[in-house]
Amino acid sequence: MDFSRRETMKVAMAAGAATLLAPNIARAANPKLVVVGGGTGGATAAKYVAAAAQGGVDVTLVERNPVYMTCYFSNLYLGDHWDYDRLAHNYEAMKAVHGVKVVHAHAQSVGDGAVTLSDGSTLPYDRAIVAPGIDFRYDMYEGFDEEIASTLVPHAYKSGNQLLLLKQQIMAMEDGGTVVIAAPPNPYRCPPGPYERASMVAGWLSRHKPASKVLILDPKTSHSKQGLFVEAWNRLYPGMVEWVGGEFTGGALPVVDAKARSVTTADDEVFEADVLNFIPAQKAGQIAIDSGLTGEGDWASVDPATLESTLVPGVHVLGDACANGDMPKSGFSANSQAKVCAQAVMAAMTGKKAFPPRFRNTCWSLVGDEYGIKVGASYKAGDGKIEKVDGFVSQVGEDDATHAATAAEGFGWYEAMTGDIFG
Amino acid sequence: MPILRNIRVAAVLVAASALPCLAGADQAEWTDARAATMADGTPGDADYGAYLVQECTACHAPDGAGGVPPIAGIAPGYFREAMAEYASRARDNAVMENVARSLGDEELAALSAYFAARYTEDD
Repeated sequence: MDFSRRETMKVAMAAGAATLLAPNIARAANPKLVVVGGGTGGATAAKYVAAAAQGGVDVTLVERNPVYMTCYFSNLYLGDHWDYDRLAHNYEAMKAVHGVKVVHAHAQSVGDGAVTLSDGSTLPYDRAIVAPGIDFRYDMYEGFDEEIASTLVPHAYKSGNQLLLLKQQIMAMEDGGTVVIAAPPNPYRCPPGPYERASMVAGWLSRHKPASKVLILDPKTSHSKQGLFVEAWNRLYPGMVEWVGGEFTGGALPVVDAKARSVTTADDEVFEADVLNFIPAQKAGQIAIDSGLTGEGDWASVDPATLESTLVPGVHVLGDACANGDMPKSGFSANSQAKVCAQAVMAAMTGKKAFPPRFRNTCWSLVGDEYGIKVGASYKAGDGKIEKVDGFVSQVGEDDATHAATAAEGFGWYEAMTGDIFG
Repeated sequence: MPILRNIRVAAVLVAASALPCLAGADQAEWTDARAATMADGTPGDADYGAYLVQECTACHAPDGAGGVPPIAGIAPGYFREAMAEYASRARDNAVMENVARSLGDEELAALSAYFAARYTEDD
C-alpha cells in the first residue's frame, strides 16, 4: 500500500518540470542499487528503495522468472482453499509505478561492485541486495536429487510446478492410500509449513478420499504450533493425521527410494507412501554460497541493524538466505527485513536519515475451513543477531469464532502483503 | 466459492466490533492536534511515522481485505485510542496487542503525525 501516492505524484511532477526548465545542466550519475531475487524480500526492498529515492537511485531488480509464485498460501491450493493462479504476481507495477528496471536473467555471482549474469554480462552497483531464498541440501540424502524432486517425489517447497505435481499425485491416489510428508530439519523456510500442508491435504482427503491417511515423518522432536495443530487434527480429521517425531526416526531421514516411494529413517525403519512429499534440508540460495556470503555455513551472516553481509562489504542479504537470528524464515520476515534494509541502503547511498531498525513477523496457518491459528513476534537488532522482543501464539481451546477470525485475518494479510510488494 | 463469502462475513463482523468505539467518540477529538505530540508536548516526527507505517502495510491493505480492516485515512486520535485499547486488551487481538506494546510514546506520536498529515474529514 502506498499511503502517500498523491505526494509521490506531486514530487514526480515537480521533478519533471525542473528537467524541462534546465535540460542542459548535467546531473551527477545516480547511485546504483542492484537487487538479486524478485521474491518477497528482494521485490519489497527494490520497491521501497525506489519509492524513497524518488528517482534519485537507479534500482535494478534481477529475477529469472517473469511471474513470482508465492510459497505462502501454496498449501491452501492443495486444500482447495485458494486458486493456483492467485499465487502468481508480476512485476508490472514495479516497473511502471515505481520505476524499477527489471531484468529477467539468471544472476550467477555478486561482488567487487558488479553482479555477473549467466551470459557473462555484468551490472555494476554501488550497493547490492541479495535475496535468493532457499536451495536444498540434496547432498545429505541418498536417492534424492533435483531431477527426482521435479518428476517423482516433489518437495513442492518453492510453489510452482512441483506444487502442481504434488496435487496431481494426491488427486490420482486411490482412496485408502497414504500421503507421507517428510519434514525438514531446522532451520528451514516457513516453520509451520509442513504441518499446515498436512492439514490442508487431510482436509482435501477427508472430502474426496476419506479412507486415506497423512503421515508426517520428522527429523525433529517437536515442531511449530505443535499443540495447536494436534488439537485441530484430532478435531477436524480424527484418525487421519499421524506425526512420527525425531525420537522415532532417529533424527534424520537419510534415504529415499523414489520408485518405491519409501523413506528410510536413521533408525533403519522403512516407511512406504502412495504419495511421497519429501521436503529436504535447506541452505541459502546458491548465488549467496557462490559469492562467498555464507562463509563455511549454509546461511549468510549479516549485521542485524542493516542486513549488510559481515563477509562482503556493500552487499546486503535478506529473507530466507540470511542467518536471521530469532526470526523464522518466512515471507513476512523477509518483507520486514527488506524495509529495514531499504532504509539502511538509502542512508548509505544518499545520506537519508535511517530510523532504528524494527522487525516483525506473523505466520497464519489455515488448518481447516474457517479454522486458522497464528504465531508472531516483534524483534530488534540485538548484539550480533536479530533478537525477539515480545511474542504471541494462538491458544489451545480457542472457540470457533476465534478460529474463523484468525483464518479471515490470514486471508486479509495475503492480499495486503502481496499488494505491499507487487502493487 | 463459499470461502470468499465467509471472509466477507468475517470482515463485516470485525468492522462491526469496532463500531462501538467509533460511535462514542467525538469527531473533533480524533483530529485533536495533541494526538500527534508526545507526553511532554514534543511534536511527533511524521518521517519516523512514514517508516513505522511500513509495519502496518504488511497486513492492512489500502481498502482492507479479509478480516483485516483498512487504516488508510484513520484519524490520529482514533488511532491512539485504538492502540491503547489493544495494549490494555479492551480490544482483543493478539497481533494488534503485540503491535501496540511495541509502540512507545515517540512512536505513537510519530504515527499520529503521519496520519494527521493525511487525514481529511471526508475520508
